[in-house]
Amino acid sequence: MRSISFGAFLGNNSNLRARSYVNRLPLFTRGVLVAIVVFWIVGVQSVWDLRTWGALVPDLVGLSSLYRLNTYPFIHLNFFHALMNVLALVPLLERFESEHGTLTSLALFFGPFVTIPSFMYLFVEKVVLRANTPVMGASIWVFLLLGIEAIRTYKLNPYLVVGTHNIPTWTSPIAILLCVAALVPSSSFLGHLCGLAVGYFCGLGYLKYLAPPEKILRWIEGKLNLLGRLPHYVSIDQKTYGRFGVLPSSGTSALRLRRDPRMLKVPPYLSLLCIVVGAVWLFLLPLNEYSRRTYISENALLPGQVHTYFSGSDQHVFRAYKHEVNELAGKTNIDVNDRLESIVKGLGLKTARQNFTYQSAGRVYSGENLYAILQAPRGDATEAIVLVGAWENVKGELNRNGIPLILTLARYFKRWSLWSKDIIFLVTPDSIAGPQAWVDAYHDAHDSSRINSLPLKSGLLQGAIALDYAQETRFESVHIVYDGINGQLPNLDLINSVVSIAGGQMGIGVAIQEMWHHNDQYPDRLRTMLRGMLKQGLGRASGPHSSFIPYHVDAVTLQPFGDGWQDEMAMGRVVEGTFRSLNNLLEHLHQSFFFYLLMQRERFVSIGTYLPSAMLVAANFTIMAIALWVKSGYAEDPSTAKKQPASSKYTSTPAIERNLFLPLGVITFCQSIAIIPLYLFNHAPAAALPPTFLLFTILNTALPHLLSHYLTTYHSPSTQQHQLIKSFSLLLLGMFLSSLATLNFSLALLIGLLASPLTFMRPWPGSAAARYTCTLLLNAISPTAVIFAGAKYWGLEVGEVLEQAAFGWDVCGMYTPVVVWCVWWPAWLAGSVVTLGRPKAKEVPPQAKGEKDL
Amino acid sequence: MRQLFSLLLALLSAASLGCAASDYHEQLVLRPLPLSTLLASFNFRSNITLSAFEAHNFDLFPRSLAQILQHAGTRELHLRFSLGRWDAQSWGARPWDGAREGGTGVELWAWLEAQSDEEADQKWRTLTNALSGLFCASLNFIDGTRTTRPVMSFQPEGNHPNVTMDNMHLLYGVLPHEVVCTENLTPFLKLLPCKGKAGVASLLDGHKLFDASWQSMAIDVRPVCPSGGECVLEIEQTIDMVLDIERSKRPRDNPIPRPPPGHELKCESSKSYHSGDTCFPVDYTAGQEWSLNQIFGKSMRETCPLTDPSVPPVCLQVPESRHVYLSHGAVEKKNPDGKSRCFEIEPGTGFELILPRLESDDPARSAAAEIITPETPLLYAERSFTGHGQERGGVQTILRNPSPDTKVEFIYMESLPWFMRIYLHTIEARIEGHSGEQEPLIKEVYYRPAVDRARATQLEVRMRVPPASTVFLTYDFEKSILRYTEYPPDANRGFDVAAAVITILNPEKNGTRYAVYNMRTTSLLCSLPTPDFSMPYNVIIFTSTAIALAFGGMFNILVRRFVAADEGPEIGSTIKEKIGGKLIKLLEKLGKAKAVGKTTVTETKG
Amino acid sequence: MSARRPLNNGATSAKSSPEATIPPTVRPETPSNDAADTTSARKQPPPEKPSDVRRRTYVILSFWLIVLLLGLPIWWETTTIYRANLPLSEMLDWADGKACRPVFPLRISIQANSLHEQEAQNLLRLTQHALDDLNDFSGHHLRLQLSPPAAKEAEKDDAGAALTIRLIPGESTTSTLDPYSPILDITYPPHTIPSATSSSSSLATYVASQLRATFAEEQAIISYLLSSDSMPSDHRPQGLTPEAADSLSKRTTRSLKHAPTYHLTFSLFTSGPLPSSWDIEAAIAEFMKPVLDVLSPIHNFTIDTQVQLYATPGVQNQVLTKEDLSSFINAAEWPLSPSIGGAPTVNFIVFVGNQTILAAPQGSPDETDRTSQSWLIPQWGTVYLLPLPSDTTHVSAEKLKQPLLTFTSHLLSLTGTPQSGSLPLRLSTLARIRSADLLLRASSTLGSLARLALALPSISIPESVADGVSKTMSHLRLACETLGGAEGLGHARIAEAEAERAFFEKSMVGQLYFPDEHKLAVYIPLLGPVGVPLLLGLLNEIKAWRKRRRERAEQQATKKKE
Repeated sequence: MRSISFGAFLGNNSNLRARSYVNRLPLFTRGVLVAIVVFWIVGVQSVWDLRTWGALVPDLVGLSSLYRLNTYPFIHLNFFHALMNVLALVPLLERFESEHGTLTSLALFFGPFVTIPSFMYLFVEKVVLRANTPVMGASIWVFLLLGIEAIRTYKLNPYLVVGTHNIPTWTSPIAILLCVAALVPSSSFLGHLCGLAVGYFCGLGYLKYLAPPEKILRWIEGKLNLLGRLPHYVSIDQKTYGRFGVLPSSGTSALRLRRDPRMLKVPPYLSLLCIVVGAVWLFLLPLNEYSRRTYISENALLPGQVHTYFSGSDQHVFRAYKHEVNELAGKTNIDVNDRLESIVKGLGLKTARQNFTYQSAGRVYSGENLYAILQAPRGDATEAIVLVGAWENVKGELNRNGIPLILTLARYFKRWSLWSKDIIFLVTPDSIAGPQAWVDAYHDAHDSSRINSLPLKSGLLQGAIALDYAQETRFESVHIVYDGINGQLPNLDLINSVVSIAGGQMGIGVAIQEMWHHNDQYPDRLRTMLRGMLKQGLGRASGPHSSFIPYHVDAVTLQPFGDGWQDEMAMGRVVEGTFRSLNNLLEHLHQSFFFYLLMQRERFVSIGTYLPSAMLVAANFTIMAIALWVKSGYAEDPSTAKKQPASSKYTSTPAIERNLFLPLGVITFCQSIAIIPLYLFNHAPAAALPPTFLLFTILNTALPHLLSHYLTTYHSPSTQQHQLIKSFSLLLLGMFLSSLATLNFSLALLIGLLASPLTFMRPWPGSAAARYTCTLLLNAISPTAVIFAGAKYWGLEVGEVLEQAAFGWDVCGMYTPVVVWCVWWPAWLAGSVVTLGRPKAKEVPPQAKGEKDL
Repeated sequence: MRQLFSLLLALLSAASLGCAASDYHEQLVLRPLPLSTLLASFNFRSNITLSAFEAHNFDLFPRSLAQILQHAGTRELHLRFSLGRWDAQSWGARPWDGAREGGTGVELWAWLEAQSDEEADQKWRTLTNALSGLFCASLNFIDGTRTTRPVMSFQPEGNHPNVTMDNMHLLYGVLPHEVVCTENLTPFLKLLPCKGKAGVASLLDGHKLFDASWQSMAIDVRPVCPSGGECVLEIEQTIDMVLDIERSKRPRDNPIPRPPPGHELKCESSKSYHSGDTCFPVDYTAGQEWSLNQIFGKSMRETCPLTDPSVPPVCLQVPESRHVYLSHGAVEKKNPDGKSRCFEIEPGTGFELILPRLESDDPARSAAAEIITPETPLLYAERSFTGHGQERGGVQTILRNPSPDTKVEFIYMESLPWFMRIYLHTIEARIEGHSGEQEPLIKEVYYRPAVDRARATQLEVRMRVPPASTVFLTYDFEKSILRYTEYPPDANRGFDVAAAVITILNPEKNGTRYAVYNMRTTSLLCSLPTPDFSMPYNVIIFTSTAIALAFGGMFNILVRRFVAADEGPEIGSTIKEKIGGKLIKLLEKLGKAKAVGKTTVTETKG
Repeated sequence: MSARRPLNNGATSAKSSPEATIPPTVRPETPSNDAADTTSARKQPPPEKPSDVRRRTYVILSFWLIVLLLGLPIWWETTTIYRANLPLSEMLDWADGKACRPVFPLRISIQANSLHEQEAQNLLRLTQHALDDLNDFSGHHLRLQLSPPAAKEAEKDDAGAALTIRLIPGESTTSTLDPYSPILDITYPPHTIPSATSSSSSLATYVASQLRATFAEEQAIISYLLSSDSMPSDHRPQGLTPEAADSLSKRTTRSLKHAPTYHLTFSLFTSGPLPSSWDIEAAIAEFMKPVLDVLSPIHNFTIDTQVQLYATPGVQNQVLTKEDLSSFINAAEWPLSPSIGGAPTVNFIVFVGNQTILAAPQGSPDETDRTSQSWLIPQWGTVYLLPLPSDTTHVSAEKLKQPLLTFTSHLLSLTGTPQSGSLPLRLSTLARIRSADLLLRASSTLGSLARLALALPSISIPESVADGVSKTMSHLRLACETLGGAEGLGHARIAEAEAERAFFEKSMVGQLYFPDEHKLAVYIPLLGPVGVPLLLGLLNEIKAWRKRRRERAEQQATKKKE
């Protein structure tokens, strides 16, 4: 019966169906379900440790404690464990019961099915491995049932055909087993294996004799009239011998699978599952099991191993320089540079200047960079480290302690003879454009008409530290800003060494992502991670360091914050220590990670762990697209599934031609007009941005209606064509996102989640209400709406946001606008067109008719 | 300054030619430079008559080196160990006109006598191996891929009879990555007749030498045939170093530059905010007093008795106005040109020299009075990489001719490693700051392309820079991917590219010297694409698996028969014994299944 | 394609739909009958065209041909390690001394001009007997011969004889060894001439004992060499006293490894700046050249000289005790690098300083090697402390006389020349000793090479090693035949050089090593997925072929029936 209900799932109101499914769960299954839940609730209290009582602990199993053999499947480690197992167990168990009847399953699941695996497990664990790992949880049943199912499937479709290779289907549970063992932490591979083994045996029928003989069961039933008394009781006679037991197995697995109409009904759930799992996955990351502690993997760094001497009379010098800088406050860029240059020249360093002019959103960002090179004694100009100080930081405050500190450090570094790399001191008028211009020019990637080439150069840049020390008072701890342009990150080793120098050596606290106070708990970790991901997703330059990272120069910005007793010298010592570490480097930083999410200064997840979530979200689009493609190959007739007798489900719906022209045309159109907003928002002057945005928003809401109206009136597309349109747009979306996920994970995930409703949009020929609700929903998640909402949420003007985007695009080469306007927006457009589409009711193709007759 | 050095050179050589065989000179020239640095150039020269050399009677000539020379048939040898870079902007022209220095690392070129190229290569190998043993440098890594045969850049300095000149081969090798250090100095000193025990050599100390901002050790061996006199083989050893006075004045036992006590800071009291705890430091460039003892860590012992007394052992180049304190027994002799003075030391006594700080209020005048303003070199050269990324890049050399009236003609030589494949068509010389003048900048190009893993690229360009103008010489190259065994342990550091050699030609072609000025650019660090070395076998396995899968598919498609889906033989029967049966059975069934699987192929052709 | 695919699906499914409505009554545990009813409904594929069959056969065959004819050879070629085959057993024989029995037949001619023929013969016979009685070591044999009295001058230096005995009548029996030529003069009173009949003669025994004395040292050395080498016991000499063996071993350790050329380095080290020049050429020409000339048939020498000032010795104290001498040489600072040419370097150092040696205690074993001013450093050279007034700038030739004479004597002992006997005798002895020594060394090298080749099966043996070995062995054979002669030495020398070259072949040193699991990692993924389809294809093809043959046979059978 499940299959029928399942088959009918694609009906309109699926949640109702779901409820009915839950209602129709048979008795024993419910019992197990309830038992598990109860045990979990009991386990919540901390007075009595249920788990030690009930788990299957090899050493504790004695005659007195045989009960463990029966209790352990009901007991779970934590909520997730229980939930997963329940979700996995219920359908299988339900199937088993409705096939073999309640009594049989009761007998089996309290007899052999629970004891045999546990005995096997005990034997192997105690006698063979001589270990003592406690196991618990219903997953052992899951695998047992999977084993049975697998054997049955094998009897029908022995091979799954991949390419030209036949994979016996009975191996599928093993694959699952391995995946679980690999992915799920602390899952007992051995226990699962035992369960699976028993399942195989049973499936092969070797355990038949364990099942109680039928006539006894019948007798019991008759005597107790169980069928009458118990609700949802599955009697012996109601048993269906497996839905596929006696089917004519003509053709092979692939053929069968594809011909099975239920195959076409699975994908929506599959992609829904993908999205859900993707999201859940993300929220699992901050847990200890998934995140890792950071560690220094480049041995040459030796952070905090050197004593730092920056103190004493250097503070006098610092004060003097600070006076100088304060006098310069408010002067023009040129005057500032003149004075600073004279000071730096006095230190005996080589100095040079660089003019740059950027134009973005009608504004002109121009200025002059000043930089000085401290040539490494005995060094050859092969490698260099950069110390950047922006005259004004990102917020536009004067960097009043940073600049003097840099000057003092320059004077101090000059005294050392141990530098193996040149040290470049760079002072830029602003925090984004200046460094960008300088780095571009350093790598000759600049447009020399607007940006001067550098008159003075050194070797390969091995690292860069930016100082943003605007606050007047003494500070408490250091804030590390590490996001680069387009979400690129510096090598984790750099952050680690700063953390260990500041935190470990100097005893200065370290914060990231503006989490000023971080108790290393789940919520804070999650918040840190999400902030990081948001910054990464936006991909804009977050400080002077950002421009370095695209050139594979690892860089961070150090911001003192808080009110504490640390003075400027302490900050200087942090920089000194970091530079000593960088100076130790023999090779370019390459050991540690470049793709990671930090959730605390000493906790991170690496790409291998977090990538699946984005990939799953991206995959859901692809799955749906393929499903739609296949589906569009059949003459769709929703009525058959219900009206026809159960048996005819196995006849396939007839195939028809796809006419691809219109869908392709629509998609091409959507993609091509995506250029318009991109151009518009990147070239409109700043003043004109808000009105343009308003105008575009209005157009944006109107456009789908116009398009679909045009289509319906002139082309009157069929359902199939709608399916194809959707399929193509989803295909593109999935493709873009999955490739983007490897470059900028966060952006891909954000877009993917925001676009996920598009997967489930379909034309509503019948109900106008549904159509308009969907349209509303779509408008709520349209790019424009999201931008607007985001701006409002962070208390910004839309104009600012767009200007920032344009600036990022023009100056830093940030590609977020492209992704938004050329990937997300077209998909959204196509989705809403599909939603608004009114497919004409089409006549049933002839073969389908001929089929209905028999 | 340059004239002065050349004059010295001439004087020394004249002296050497004048006297008989086995005589010996040594001289130390001290020259304060701007930014409170000091150039100290040591020069030692001894020689031996060729006859005695052939007869193996090297009495004062270093035997270890002589043996090598004889064994490798070397007629003329030039070996350079250099570290750091000469800051031409502030220090001006190079000592010895750059004739006694090389690019960073080790540089070696020699004229070998051989009948054929193969023989020359074979002798070159012996020479490099022997020298690497002698100087504790990894010269033996100068293999074929690092050796070139320059055509225009070098000319023999000694005078060779023409008969030998015909079958003399010039080979040039360079090791940019070699780090020159004290273990190279010790054998260098061993070659001196007085070792480091007496004479100016006694000032040489590894710690100070290798703490210098720039230093270069040179060994030149060349035959000199004075007119009339007997041919001698002359060995000249030179050490030039630029010391940062403040740094080298630090005591050896406490080299850490701790911040000085507040009251010792030299402040500019003129500042308004000047106070006890606020101090604007005076310029670093202000000169300071120094003495030999402070600079070199020890003062000079007695002179080496072998030296020719006519050559004063120590010379100092400061304006005449400055006063110098000497230890007793030393006599100061001012040179007529007023720029330098030399010191006669009576034998058996040590020598100490103190140059007090010039106290003067006017900084501008004091700068002039304090040191001799270094004269501008003939050419400024700066080389750097352009572009970024791992597959291709470019090299840009900025050549600036400071002189207002005279053009400079020179030869620019690059010997690049084979994995930098240069695009010769992209080589171009762009001029800036100078108009008119249609004459081509590049006169002549000699290019010898690299052979992978066998030979280095050799590029020699004869070009000129018009007066008061800057020329950009640029070319692009492609980085090739190495085999993974060819990467050094520190592959991610990058690969050093040797300095370019610039030889400025003598304007008058028939002049005595071929080159009036030599210089080297800085060396470069070229980062190649580097694989992840941790998993070669994974790569092998993955690739072979991919190949295998592709093969399997192709093979099956080729050999299988396609029939309609329902025409294929029945499968899925008799499962029980298939699973329950023994393993072998199962395997063979699998085989059968494969064979039967033909039918399924139709299905997968979607 | 895919847009059209479902069509035939539809078709097939439409066909298979009738079976779809079988009432679900049969248990899945009885698959036999449902298999039955489906197979009954199943129709056979149309018979395959023979061209297709042939094509498939060709495909499979060509694959297999490529694999067998191209793949396997390439694989084999690229993965095998080349091992030239060596005559291992013979090499081991040489090492064990089975191949050659070193025998030194020494012919000694007797000139007895004043005797009659048969008297001389008789004397000769008697002396030979006496010798044979005395001799206990088969490896070293003295054979007497009578040189015809005629033309004695011509015969004096006939090549074969190692020693010539001149019997001169006199009043008493005395023997004098000629210092410059291998001649032993023996005077005898006439009455000592044995009569033709007498079976013993004092003269004969005297001559024999003289000869024995002359060749005692050589015999001892050779027997020592043989015994120190792994020689089977039957060659072992008897009666080699332990202390004799001890002194011999000292000497052999002291003497340099034999080489055709020696490189002599004369260095003048002065502790101060003076003296800075010396007149070494003249001194060498005067005091050393003669000896070098004499040695020239065995070795040739290259000479170089140097002067080093400010040379501080390794030991600073005034009076050097015996222990100091070993550490006197300041190896770190003194430029005494061995010569590049490959010839072993002998260092002769004249050290001008104010240090003296503590006089050696009497009776110390190597007292002979050491004057109060110089000492010999085994296998390395000699140091001579030359005291000079501090202001001498130039060391004259005569000042160098004493040092050079010391050097000369030390050079002889460094080259391993025996001490006793006249110079020519000593040199000829030296030649014999050397050849024996080389012979043994070469054969032991062969042995170790053979053992190496046996021990490491995965080491590659290039062709050069093989021919090196063959050359060695041929020369060894020649040397073994002409042992004791001049050419014997030459052969032995070549053999030894060849053996060394073969043993230290560069390409043998770095041997490749692939762990098996690595091989597995490389081969399995390739051979698994590639090999299985190939094999299965072949098997199926063979099956099909069998089937076809059977069918054909049946058809013919049916034809026959009709």
